[in-house]
This record gives sequence, structure tokens and C-alpha cells, in this order.
Amino acid sequence: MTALWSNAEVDFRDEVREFCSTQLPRDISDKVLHGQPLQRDDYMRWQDILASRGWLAGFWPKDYGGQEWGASESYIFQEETARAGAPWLLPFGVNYAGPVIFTFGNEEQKRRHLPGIVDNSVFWCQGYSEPGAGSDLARLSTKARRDGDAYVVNGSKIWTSMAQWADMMFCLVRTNSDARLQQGISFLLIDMNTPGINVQPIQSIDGFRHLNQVFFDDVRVPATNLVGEENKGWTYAKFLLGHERVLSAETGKARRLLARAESAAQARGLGKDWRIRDKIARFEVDIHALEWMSLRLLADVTAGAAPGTESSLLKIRGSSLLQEISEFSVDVLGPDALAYDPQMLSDGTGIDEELRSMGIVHDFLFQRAPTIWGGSNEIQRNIIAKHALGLPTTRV
Amino acid sequence: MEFSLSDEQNMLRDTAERWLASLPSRPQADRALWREIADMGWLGAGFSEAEGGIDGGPVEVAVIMEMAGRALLRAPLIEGMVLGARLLSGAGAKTSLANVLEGQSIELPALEEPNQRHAPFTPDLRLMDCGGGHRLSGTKSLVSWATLADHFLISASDGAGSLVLLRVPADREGISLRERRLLDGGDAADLLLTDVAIGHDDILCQGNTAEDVLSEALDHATAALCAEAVGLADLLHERTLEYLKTREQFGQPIGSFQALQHRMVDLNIALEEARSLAMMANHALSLPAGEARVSPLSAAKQGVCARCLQIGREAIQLHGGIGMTEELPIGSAFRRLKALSLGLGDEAWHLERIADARGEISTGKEA
Ligand SMILES: Cc1cc2nc3c(=O)[nH]c(=O)nc-3n(C[C@H](O)[C@H](O)[C@H](O)COP(=O)(O)OP(=O)(O)OC[C@H]3O[C@@H](n4cnc5c(N)ncnc54)[C@H](O)[C@@H]3O)c2cc1C
Repeated sequence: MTALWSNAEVDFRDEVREFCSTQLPRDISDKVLHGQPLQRDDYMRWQDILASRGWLAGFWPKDYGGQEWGASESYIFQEETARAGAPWLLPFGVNYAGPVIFTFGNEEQKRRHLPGIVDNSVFWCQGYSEPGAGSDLARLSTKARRDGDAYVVNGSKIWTSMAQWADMMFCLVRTNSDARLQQGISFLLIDMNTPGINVQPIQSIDGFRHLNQVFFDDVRVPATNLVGEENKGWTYAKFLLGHERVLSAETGKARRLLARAESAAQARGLGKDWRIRDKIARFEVDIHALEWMSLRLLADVTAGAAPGTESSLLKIRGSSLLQEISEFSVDVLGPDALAYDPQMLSDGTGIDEELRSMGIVHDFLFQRAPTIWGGSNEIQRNIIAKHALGLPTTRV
Repeated sequence: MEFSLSDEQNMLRDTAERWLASLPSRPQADRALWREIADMGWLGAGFSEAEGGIDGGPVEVAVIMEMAGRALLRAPLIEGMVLGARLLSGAGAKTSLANVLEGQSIELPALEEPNQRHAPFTPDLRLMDCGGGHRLSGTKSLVSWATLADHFLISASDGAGSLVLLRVPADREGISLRERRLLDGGDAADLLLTDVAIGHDDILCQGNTAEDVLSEALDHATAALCAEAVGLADLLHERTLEYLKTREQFGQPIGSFQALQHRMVDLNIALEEARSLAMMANHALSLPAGEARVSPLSAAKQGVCARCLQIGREAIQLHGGIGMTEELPIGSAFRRLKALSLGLGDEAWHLERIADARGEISTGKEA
């Protein structure tokens, strides 16, 4: 390894940086940088801006509206936008539904669904988890029964992020209850405006309602919305989970959160406090380790290897690190963190010390989630133990 | 050594548990609820009969605090039942104390200030001389349950810079409240004091006496806080253990996975240690006030909170998605634990105090 980034990659990084500094609306980055909850419109405005630059689905093939970015470009893009305070790029359409559709869907499905993702006109959500099927996703029981030219869906999905804002859901449903668990699952695209769908918000521990339970009561979904083959959905679902984890080591965000903790310390006259400096230095070490681990994985992926168990490793470290930095930030606030008012935080405009501090508390509460979602860290450890280390297993 | 509860203490515990179970879930204090708390005899639990109590002490208070923690009761127990009442008792304000213990008057401490990270003995708030009396202008921050208070027990410094404790009616002219919501869901307010007239009768005590009184009250409050934290952790531990036994994934209870069994065992150890430290805190209250108590109380505060928070984080994680929601009491308990760990001196504050109590590490070679 000689240079870390090629000249072209350095140019690209500068281009993204420049783009963020001129195009990212200030009111949106203020919200992100200060931990205020974002509204649908905040996400969509930024994604519109990316879409008009052709960067919303940058890693997609050119044929479908992408730029064919390699792993390095994707990484640089994520790192730079996160540091600049851009909203989390919602992965449901771009990273999940889109790739499944262009990899396994038919021509008609590509024509119908891909443009809406690339131009950001359709808001997607992910219908995987169910009350009885979380880590053990294959046990899902939402049923889709074929009836003429439609599937009739009954059951419910839970923890569906942002379903209240979504136009479409990609959904795993059981189409064959007799087959082995993984073999009776299909991948359906469901219009959220179809009669029989009922979205119930769930309040999370940060005081907000971005999670939902989605109920299906005899929902008729056109059979043309089945992606790939019936009962082959598990293959597509696993393909997608691989994609979900590659981008999980959010070093840009970790840096941003650490910088915020540093300003909070400074604002409280704690800039010279050795306890705080010591912890910040340790986090910097962790970020370096995670970054170089990510870069090594990127190099492998760029060289043609499929993302393997290394992505589990990144997911575990990335999520834990964000979580630790978030709690450390609250400790920097000290007793100031005792005040927390979700309503005030979401209504707040302009930024004063009080909102800043509530934003830090908000991130602290919400960052308990990344170690749970996207395949919990326990499940990732199981994957590494079994598939990377080859440890013997007692279970089937 | 005696670690178990007496019959009376067990009875107090059982009655408290039954009453708490009869309340709506996650009960929030108001005047009516405070009345009931008083009728239960809780307010006098830490005081002698002569002072209007039930001849109890720190153990009785701890029993109540632990049960209240388990039930996620949101009420000014640490603030009013312990800290406020102890200030009055220490200052010899007999009538006021009697009223407080009967639940007639709610008297809450206003000690913390903006830009201070818990420096209770050196308030910035100045008591200014003015003609025959005094005036008070400034801010006390995040006074818990301020809207319920009949009187505020305010700390200030006098002209010579020594500590004064004041007892001021909440409706005194010049006092206004800026209401705030707390991380643990409780209510609080910043107390904005503008040229508040203070007479001699409003002064509870000052100088060394005030320091001793405040110190004693804070010691009791710290021990009570530890007991509440243990109650919260006990709830989290119980719910998590139950969940591991009943939640099934991969066709078996998730508690059958050894990775989770070991995690649960660690939580169990953390809970036992926290409980032990909380008892140590109660024991420390029987030591002479001052230096002898510093290290055990700070160790208990930091040690209990650190362990209980670990239980909180793990309770969320081991519950998976549902642990992130308000459907279960897990998140509430976790937020309260974080608030307890930040209040009455945060982790750094207590560690510093422990280190200071040990004194400097000698650099000399001779040991
Ligand atoms: C904020 C948030 C947003 C989410 N958004 C979405 C979304 O948009 N769409 C969607 O479909 N899902 C979403 N999820 C759901 C998420 O994917 C699940 O919560 C996750 O898969 C865990 O499932 P569960 O909640 O049922 O927990 P469970 O699977 O019941 O797990 C409970 C605990 O047991 C552990 N465990 C389970 N099995 C094992 C094992 N074999 N070995 C060791 N430990 C084990 C888990 O790690 C966890 O700690 C979201 C979750 C959260 C918290």
C-alpha cells in the first residue's frame, strides 16, 4: 500500500466537501449537528439536492441512474456528508429496495420503481421484523395468499422506521407455510396507500414516534409486485442484509459526535480537564482503528471480494463506538443533561446552549438502537464465531 | 452484622409495595399523591418520634426509596422527604419540620446553579444587605418539582462569602419559575429571583452551622438516591431475566443462549454489588459527620450508579426492539438512572472526592 487514496479519490473527496459546504441547507445541518429530530421534509429536501446532482444513488449502475461508484467513493461520500452534518441518507429505497429490484426484479419492475428512487419522489420503508420474528427473521408469519392476479396480505410488521411517511414498503411475506422456514418467504412491494393497511406509531425512549407497527388486513397487492420468484425471498433478503452492514461503520458520524462533545466541554470550561481529554484521546484511537479496518475491507471489496463476515465486525465496532461517544457526551454535559424536553427540542429553532444540550441527550437515548437493529450485535458475533472463526456450534 | 430487615421494616416494605401497586403505572406526583404519601407515614420514616417521625432512620428511608424506585414513582422523595426535611431538622426549625412531616407543607431545596457542576457549599447567589434586611437576586437551576413547593430552601452566600440557608415562601414577590422538563420525565423549574426581600425570619442558619446542616442533609440524600437506584436496577434485572426466559427466537427461549446467560449473570453480580454499596451508604450515615463519611458515600454514589446504569444499558439491549420503546418501563428506568447518576454530584465529582480524601500520592521512595 503506497498512498491511502488515489488522486481521483482525493479530487472526489474535495468535490463532495465543496458540494456540502455550498449545497447543504444550513437549517438542516443545524438540526443534524445539534441532534434535533428531522422531519420528512428535512430528509427529502436534502435528498432532492443529492438527486439533482446525481448522487443519491451514486453506487448504482449508470443504466439505472447511478454513477457506478466503487466502494471507496461510497465510503468517502458517506464520511464527508456525515461530517458536514448532512441527514442520514435514508437507505430504504437507495440501499435496500433499489439493489434488490435491479438485481432480481423484471424489466417492468425496474422501469416502474427505480426512477422514483433515483429522483427521490418515492419514500420507502422496510417491512422485515415482526413481533415474533426479529433476530430469527425466517420465522416471520405475515401471510400472502395468492388470489387471482393479486396477493392478499394479512399479519403485521413491527419496528418499521418511518412507515408513517412512506409511500412504499418492501416486505417479506410467507407464501408457503408448509415448506422449511427459509423456503416459503417472498419479497413483495406494497403501496402504503392500499386499503387495509393501518400504521400505528410506537413511542421510543427518546420521546419520539418514528417507529411503527404496520397491520395488514386483507391487503390486496398486485401479483406483479412480487420481486423475483415466489418463495425465493430469503435469498434476496440476505443479499440486502449484506448491503445494510457494509456502510455501518460510520466514522464520519463518530468524528462529528466527538467534535460536538469537545465543544460542549469547551463551553463548560472543561477544555483542560484530564478526565475528558483522556477519554477523547481514547475515542480518537478507536476511530482510527475502525477507519483503517473499514479501509482494509473496502480494499478487498474493491478488489472483487463479496462483503463477508468483516462487515459484521464493522457493524459491531461502529455501533458500539457511536453509543459510547454519545453517552460520554452526556457525561460532559453533567447536570445540564438533566433537562430534556422532546417537544421543545423538535420545535426549537435557532440554536442555543439549552437546545444543544438536549440534542446531545436525544442522541444518547437514540443511539441505544444501532446495536439492536440491522442484525443485533449478538447475532453479528454469532456470525463471526461460526463463519469466520469456524467455532463448533451446538445449535441447528 | 445485621443485613436483614426487622419485622417492622418488612412491614413498611410490604405496605409500600402494596400501595405502589395500587397506583396507575409510572405515577407522577401531585398534591393529592403527596397527601397519600404523608398518610402512609413515609415522610417521617427517617425521623425520631420527638421530631414527629416514626423513630426510623436511614434503613426505613432506604426501604421506601427502593420500593419507589421499583415502581418508577415520580415524586420529590429525595428532594422533599430527605433533603428538605433534613435541612429543616438540622436547622432546628421544629414547627416547619412538623408541618412537612405531616404533609401540610412541601418544602424543596433550591441548591444548584447554572454554570456550577454541583458546588453546594459555595453558591454564587449573593444575599445582599439592604437597609435592615436583605435582598436576593439570581438564579437557582433545575429545582425539581418546583411547582409543588410551598417553600423553597435556598442556599446563598452572605457578604463575607459564607453559606446561608434560607426558607422562603414560594409565592414571595420577586420569585418566578421557568418550568422545565427533566430527562426522567419529572418536572422542574429554574428559580428566577429578582430582588426578593429576605427578612431575619427567613434565615434558617448560616456559617459553619449551615455547612454542617447541608452536609448532613446531602449525605442522607445520597444514601437515599443509592437505594432508589437499586430499586430501579432490581426492576430492570427482574424484567430482563423474565424476558430471557419467555422470549423465544430460533425455537427456544433466548435465555438458553450461553452468550446471553453470561451477560445476565454479570447483571446479577452488578445488582448484588450495587445493593451492597447502597447498604454501605446507609452504614456510613452512622459514622460521625464529616471526613469519615466522605469516601464511603462517594464510593457508594459512583459505584451504585455505574452498576445500575450498566444494568440499564443491557436491559435495553437484551430486550431488542421492544427495549427501545415506552411500551415497557425499561426506558423510563434507564433515563431515571442516568438522571440519578448526574444529580447530587456526577461520576467525575465523586471520583474526585474519593481521590481527594485519599490525599496526595507520595512521591518519596521510602514507604
Ligand atoms: C430504532 C429501530 C429501528 C428499526 N427499524 C426497522 C425497520 O425499519 N424495519 C424492520 O424490519 N426492522 C426494524 N428494526 C427491527 C430490528 O431489526 C430488530 O429489533 C432486531 O432484528 C432484533 O429483533 P427483536 O427486536 O425481535 O429482538 P430479539 O430477536 O427478540 O432479541 C432479543 C435479544 O436476544 C438476543 N438474541 C437473539 N437471538 C440470539 C442468539 N441466537 N444468540 C445470542 N443472542 C440472541 C438479541 O441480540 C437481543 O439482545 C428496528 C429496530 C430498532 C430498535
